[in-house]
Amino acid sequence: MTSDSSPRPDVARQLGVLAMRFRRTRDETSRRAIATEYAQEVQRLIETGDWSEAPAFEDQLPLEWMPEAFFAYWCPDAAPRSTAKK
Amino acid sequence: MTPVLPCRPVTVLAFVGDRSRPFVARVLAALVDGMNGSGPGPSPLECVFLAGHAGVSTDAGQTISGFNPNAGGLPAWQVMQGLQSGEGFPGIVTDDTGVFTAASQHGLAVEAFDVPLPEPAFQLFVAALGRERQNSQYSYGLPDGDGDCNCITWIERLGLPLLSGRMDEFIALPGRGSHPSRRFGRCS
Repeated sequence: MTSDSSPRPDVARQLGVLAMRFRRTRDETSRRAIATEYAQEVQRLIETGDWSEAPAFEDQLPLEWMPEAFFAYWCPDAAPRSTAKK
Repeated sequence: MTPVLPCRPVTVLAFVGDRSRPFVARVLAALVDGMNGSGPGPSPLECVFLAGHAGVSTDAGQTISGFNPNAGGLPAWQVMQGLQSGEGFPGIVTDDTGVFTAASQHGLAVEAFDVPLPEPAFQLFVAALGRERQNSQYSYGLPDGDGDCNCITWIERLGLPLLSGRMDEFIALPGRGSHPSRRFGRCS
């Protein structure tokens, strides 16, 4: 076992805030608005040119709500089919 | 003078998920395949490597117990999707020693720290852990989802302090400001 006590950068913290807001509601309209904000934040992170660590699992939206730019950046070979809700 | 009772340590172990591009790309592709019906989806172990995990040990890491969602036969990708949607799943406590070993072999840094307890408190903890292993009373969910707790906050449910108690540490917690509320459990 190792013990690395150095703090981890949390450049994607806003994504976590939005993911929690997303889980807080079941209202489709609210979720759509949150997903739009999420997509804007993903775009901002991509444009930093320095987004080297994927967001934590709990900081991600369900796949069908994730912006296409997220897949293009992290996983160019995969994107959900037309069921996507973005 | 009252004799000082010996302490017994409970060890808390945790690892952060693998966020590297190659691994994330592989698991995301598998998740998408699972959702599209074009593949089985990622394995449960891959999902844990992606998400990270926490557990406790009362025997210096020889046996590590962890709180997990009881998938009840659902494929792992569907559980992941459900959790990210805010669903709660029945919780189950399993012997996750192998998960932590595999995580270490995968290259993930397993962090560990001890919480020494007086013998009576240690025995109470062991008893609570035993009951949880038999049948967890909690459901699993992500913060602001419908579950009672996740693998980290389950440890708090067992009564184990995860913070040192230093005020500077508590006030400096990044999540305190960015997540001013955090719901666990279904309520409106």
